[in-house]
Amino acid sequence: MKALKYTLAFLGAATLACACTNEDPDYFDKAAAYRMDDIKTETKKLLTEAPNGWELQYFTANDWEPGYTILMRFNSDQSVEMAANNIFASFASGNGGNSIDNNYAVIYTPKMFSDISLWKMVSDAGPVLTFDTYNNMLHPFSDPYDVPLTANNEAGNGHEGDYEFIVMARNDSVVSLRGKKTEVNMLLKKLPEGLDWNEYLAKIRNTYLNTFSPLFPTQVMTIGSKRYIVSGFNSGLIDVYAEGDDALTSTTTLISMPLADGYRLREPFNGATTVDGLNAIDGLALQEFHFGEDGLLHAPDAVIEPYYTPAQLFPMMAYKNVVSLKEEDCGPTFYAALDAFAGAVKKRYKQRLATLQFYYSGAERRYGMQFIANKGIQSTAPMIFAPVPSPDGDNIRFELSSTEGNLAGNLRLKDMDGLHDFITFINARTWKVTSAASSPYCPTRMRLTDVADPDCFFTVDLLSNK
Amino acid sequence: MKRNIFNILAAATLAAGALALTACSEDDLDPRSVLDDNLSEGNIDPDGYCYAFDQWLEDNFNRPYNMEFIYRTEFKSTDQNYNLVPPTIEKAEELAVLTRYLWYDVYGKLQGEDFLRTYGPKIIHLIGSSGVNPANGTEILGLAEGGLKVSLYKVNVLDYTQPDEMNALYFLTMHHEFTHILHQTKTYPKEFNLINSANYQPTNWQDRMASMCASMGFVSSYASGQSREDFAETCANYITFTPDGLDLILWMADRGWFKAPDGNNIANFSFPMKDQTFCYYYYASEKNRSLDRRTYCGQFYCPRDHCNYITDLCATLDADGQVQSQQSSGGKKIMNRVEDIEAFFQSLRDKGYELYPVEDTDNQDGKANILQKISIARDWYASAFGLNLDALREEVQYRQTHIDMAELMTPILGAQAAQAKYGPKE
Repeated sequence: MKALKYTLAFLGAATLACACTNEDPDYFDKAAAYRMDDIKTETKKLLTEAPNGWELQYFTANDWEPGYTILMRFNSDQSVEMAANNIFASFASGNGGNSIDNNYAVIYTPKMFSDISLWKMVSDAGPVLTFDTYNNMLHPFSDPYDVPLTANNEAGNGHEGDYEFIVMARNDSVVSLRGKKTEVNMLLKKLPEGLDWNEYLAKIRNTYLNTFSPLFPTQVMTIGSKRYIVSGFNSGLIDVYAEGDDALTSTTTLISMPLADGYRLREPFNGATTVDGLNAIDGLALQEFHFGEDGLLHAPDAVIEPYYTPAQLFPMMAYKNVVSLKEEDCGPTFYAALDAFAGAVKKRYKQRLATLQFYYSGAERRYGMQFIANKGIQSTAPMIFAPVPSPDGDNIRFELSSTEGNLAGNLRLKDMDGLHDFITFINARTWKVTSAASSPYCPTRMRLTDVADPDCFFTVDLLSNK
Repeated sequence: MKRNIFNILAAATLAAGALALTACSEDDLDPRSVLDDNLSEGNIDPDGYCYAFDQWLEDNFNRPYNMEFIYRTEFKSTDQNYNLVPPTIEKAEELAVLTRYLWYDVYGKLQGEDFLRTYGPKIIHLIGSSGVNPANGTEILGLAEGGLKVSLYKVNVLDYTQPDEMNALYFLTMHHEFTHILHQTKTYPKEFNLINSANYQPTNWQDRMASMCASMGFVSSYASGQSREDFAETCANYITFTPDGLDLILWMADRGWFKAPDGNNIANFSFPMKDQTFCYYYYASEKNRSLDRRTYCGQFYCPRDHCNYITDLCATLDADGQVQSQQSSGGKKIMNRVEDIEAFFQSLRDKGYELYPVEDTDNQDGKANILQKISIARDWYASAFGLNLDALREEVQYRQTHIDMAELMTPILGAQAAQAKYGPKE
C-alpha cells in the first residue's frame, strides 16, 4: 500500500512536470505581433515601390450602384494621390453633376479628378490599410449624408462604402482587401509603368459606355451546359436567372464594374438563386469576365453572348432601322439602286432623299419602308407596307407591297417613277444581317448583304422606335 | 490519518518542486517590443507630407498639454454604429489653429496654462462628418467621454468666413463638451436641475422648436433634453452667443409662441420647414376678426441650433389653423437683432394693425429661468474653478470677431503661403 502511494505521488509529480514544460510546438516562427508588424512593413514597401501606382477596384455595400476604379499612388511620405472619373468624385471636387436617375451613362465622367490625402498601415482587425484623412476620390462613398444626385434619401447610411481595408493576401502585383466595416472584398492591382492614368480611366469608361446599351438589354450567359438570362449590364446592376425559370421570382442582381478589358462582379457568381435552389452550380465562382478576340466576355468555362442575333433584332418593333445613304456604307450594286431611287425622289419632290427606313409604324399599325425628302413637304411621309420580315437563320427577306401603303405611299406608288424598281430590287434578294458595331452586345449598326452578291450591301443604324 | 496527510503533503511538495524547476527555465525576454510602431515611435517624421502640421500640433497641443490631437481619424475609437469619415488635411489644420486660438489660448490667458493641463481633455479627435442617425435624422456634433476625450464632428464643412456657423458647429461644441468635463470633475449645484425639472424631454427634444424651448427657459432645443445637457448648453451658449444673440434668446424666452398645426407647411415659403411658430397676431380686417381668422407674425426660424432668427412672414390662418394666405416678403427677410424685430412689428402697427401677443401657456417665466441658470453657472465657475465666466465670455466674444486666419496659419504654411491662401484678396 505504501509503495503504491509513493508510486502515485511520483507519477503525479512527473505528470505535472511534463505538463509545464515549455516544449509546446511552434506553429509560427514568430509571435503574432511580430508577424503583424512584418506584414505591415512588407505591404507598405510593396505599395510604395510601384512607381505608377495601383488600381483599386472599389465596391460599396449598397445594391443600387456599380463599382468604381480609383487609381492610387502611395508615397513614402504617407501621402497618397488618388484619381477617379465618376460623378461622385466630380461632385465632391465641386463640379456638381447630373442626376443619375434613369441615366447611368453619366455615372462615369469624361474628366479625371484627383486629390491628395494620407494613408498608413495599422494593426487592427489584422493588418489594415487605412486612408485616415479625407480624399474626394474615396471618402464620398463613406459620407453618412443623403447621396447627391439620387432620388432616394440615404441620410445616415450614404453609399455604405469603406475607407479602411484589411489586407487579406498579396503577391507582387495584387493585394486582396476586405472593407473593414462592410466586409466587401476588393482588389488592389499594380499598374504597369508608363500607363497614362487619364487614358486608362477613359478606356474603362469606354467599356461601360460602348459595350452594352439599354437598347439591347438582354444577353445570355452560358456556364458549362447551363444558360442564364442576364440583363442590365448598362447600369452595372446585372439581373440574372436561369433560362426556363420564372424571371419574377428567380432573378438575382449582381453588382458589377467595368474594367479596361472586361467586367468584374462584386461577389463571385455561383449560380442563379432560384426558389428551390436547384439551379445552383456547385463550386462555381465566376467573378471576372474579359473580352476575347470575338469581342465577347469570357470567363473560365463561361461566355456571355447576345441573346438575339442581328437578324432577330432587325425586325423587332422596338427598333427603327435607318438606312445610311452614304456611298461608303453601301456596296456598289446597292448604291446604284439607291442612287436611282434618290433620283426618282428628286424628280418627284424637287428635293433630296433625306431618310430611308424600315420600321413598325405605331400610327399606321403596319411594318414597312418609309422615305422622307429633305424638306419634308409631305404632311405624312410615304410608307410602303410589308409583312414583318421573318428571319431564317441570319437571313431575312422583304416583301414590300407594290400596291399597298399609307395614303402618301399609295399616291407615290401611282405617280413616282423608280419606286417600283427599288421595291423590286429589295424584294428580289435574300439579305444576310450582320452586326457592324464594335460591340457584339450593342449592334447599333447592322449590315445587310445580298447572300448572292457580296458587293450588294447596305448599312442601317438601329434607333429606338419610340 | 496523520500518516496519510504526511504522504499527501510529501507528494504535493515533490510535484510543486518539479513544476517550479520547469516553469522557471528558458523564459528570456524578447529584445523586440510588440508595441505598434505608430504608437511606440511617438515622434514626427521630418519627411512626412504633413510634417509642418504634425510639428505644430506637437508644439501647441501634444507636448505642452500632455495630450493627443488626432486629425487622422481612428475609426476604431469612434462609435461604430455611425458612418463617419475623416477630415480633410486642410480643414483639420484650420480647426486646429482655431481650437488653439478660441479655446486653449482663452483659458490660458485667464487661468494660466495649468488650468487646461489639469482639466483639459487628453484627446481631441477630429471627425470629418457628423454622426447621422438614420432613424430620426439627428446629428452628433460633439462628444465628451469621461473627461478625457472630446470628439469634434463635421470638420469638413468648416468655413472660417462664417463665424455664426463656426460657432454653431464647433466652438459651441468645444465649450459644451469642456463644460461636461468640468462638471464631471466638480459637480454643479443641484438647484439648477430643479428650475425646469418638469420640462425635460430626453427622447423627443429634437422635435421641439427652440422658440418654445426658450419660452420655458432653455437656451436651445438640445438643452431641453436633460438637465446635464441643459447645464452644458447654458454655459456654452452664454460664452459663445454674441450680445445680439443673447438679447434675442432672452427676448424669445419672454413671450408665448403659437405653433401651427403639424403638416401645415406654408406654400412658397423661402425655408421649407416642418413646423412654424409665431409670437404675435393681428386681424387684417374686421371680417377676419369676426371669423377669428388671425394673421400670425413674428415667425421663428432656426437653420440650426444657436442660429436663431425671426422672419417677416405674416400668415393668415383660419380658425381651424389652415393657412389662408401669406404676406410681406414671405419670410425672405430674416432678423437676428431685437431692435430690427421690434422695428418690423412697429411697421405693422404703423399700417394700422393692432398686434396681440400669443398667450404664454407653459407656466414658466423663460427669461427668468435662463437668467437664473446663467447666474448659477457664473457662481459655479467662480467657486469651483476661480474662473470669471463673464471675463471668459468677453475674451471669446473678442476673439470670435477678430480671427486672422493668415496669421494663425502662418506657423504651418509659412507666411507667404498663408497670406496667399487666407490673406485679404485684392
